[in-house]
Amino acid sequence: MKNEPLKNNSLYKETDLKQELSRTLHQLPYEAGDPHLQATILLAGKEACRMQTRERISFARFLKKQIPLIGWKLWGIQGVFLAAASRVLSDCSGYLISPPRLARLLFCLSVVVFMTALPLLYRSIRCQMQEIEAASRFSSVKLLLAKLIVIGIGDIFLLGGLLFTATAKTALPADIAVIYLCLPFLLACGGCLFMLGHFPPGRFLAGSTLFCFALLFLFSVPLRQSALLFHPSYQEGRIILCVWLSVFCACQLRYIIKTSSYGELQII
Amino acid sequence: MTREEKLIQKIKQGDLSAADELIAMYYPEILRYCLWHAPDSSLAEDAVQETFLKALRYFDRYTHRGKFKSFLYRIAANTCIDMQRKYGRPDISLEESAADPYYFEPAFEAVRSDMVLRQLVAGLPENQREIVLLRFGQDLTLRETADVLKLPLRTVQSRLRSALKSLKEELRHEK
Repeated sequence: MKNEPLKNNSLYKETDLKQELSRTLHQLPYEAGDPHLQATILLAGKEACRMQTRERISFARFLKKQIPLIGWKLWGIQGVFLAAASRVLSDCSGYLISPPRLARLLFCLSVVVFMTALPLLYRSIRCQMQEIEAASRFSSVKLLLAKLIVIGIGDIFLLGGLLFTATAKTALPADIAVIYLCLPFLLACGGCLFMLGHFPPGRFLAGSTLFCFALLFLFSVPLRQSALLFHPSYQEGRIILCVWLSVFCACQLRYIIKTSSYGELQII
Repeated sequence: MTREEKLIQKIKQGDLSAADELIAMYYPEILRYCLWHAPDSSLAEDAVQETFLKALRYFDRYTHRGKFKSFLYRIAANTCIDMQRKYGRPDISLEESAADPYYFEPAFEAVRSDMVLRQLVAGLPENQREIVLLRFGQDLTLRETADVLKLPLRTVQSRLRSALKSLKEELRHEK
């Protein structure tokens, strides 16, 4: 490296310019003080002591710890709901012999399956725990992810139970019953995930409840426009809709985790 | 295995006393980087301190693949951005340093040459100036610069080329 500064006329050569830039930009307008370095090392030592006393846990362990806190309550509610829904399906199997009626009932039950999770998603706001959660080692988004996994596990069992009862107690083929349960569930799930990522938390419960009730109304009232949705011959259309809704749900989840200001929205 | 790698391994194994040596190793260059970006020298010192504390705090998230320098510079860059948001960004470091009386001592011509070059670097568009500072002021490789700025290598190369081209043009006008 050159010690002598270059004259301006020699700066046209690229190599010289690079050397000159390196020499000029290495000159500090300020002398680094040793006391400040020592103070930084001292503070780092204190930080290290704090870190050693802090227990670090993985997300899997965090999720495992969440199950006794929130999982059993949700799964308890879902268990009671499954028992009641199975009873309804068994008792009404004679009345529900007509496929459109059975389809409507399964659509409505599926939306209610999703609705069982709404109080849990609103729990932080109701208990005013958002600020504590936001300041915790695990971010609000990771806590939400843990909740969604717990909800997802419960919902899979619940939908599985309903599918088993519906196919056992009625004449509905399993492949049609799966779609009858998945389509409205994914519809409710997509709408509510969208609201979770875009709405302030205060409006989430009202918005998602309204949306679910609108779906229940659409599925329970025999409107001519919605008849296609339940018709057994439109199975392919329903499958395509299910695939599209699954992609939409995945996109919404990705948006909440990666892009949205969910964490910040929690403490507005 | 380099000394840096040994120290990183020690910290990963829970021997946090190795952090002292790592801090002393990188302190001068991180301070130089923060001096370019912080509003004044005392805030630059604060930024360096904050950088090392953050690096230690988030060390468990760092996986060593020979990019510790980029990891540290990334934290320093973010810390300086936060500081600029909080205290404004006069970005005086480059220009003021040129006017510092300390630099008028050796010879007027030499000081003038340095001053001109610093002012020209300060006048570059921000995305080019940062690359010039990291590449020539901090001796980072192009790959490390790309990692710090989270840019593709080719973008860094082309921006650096444009910066050098415009510096040469400006110097021609200066003459």
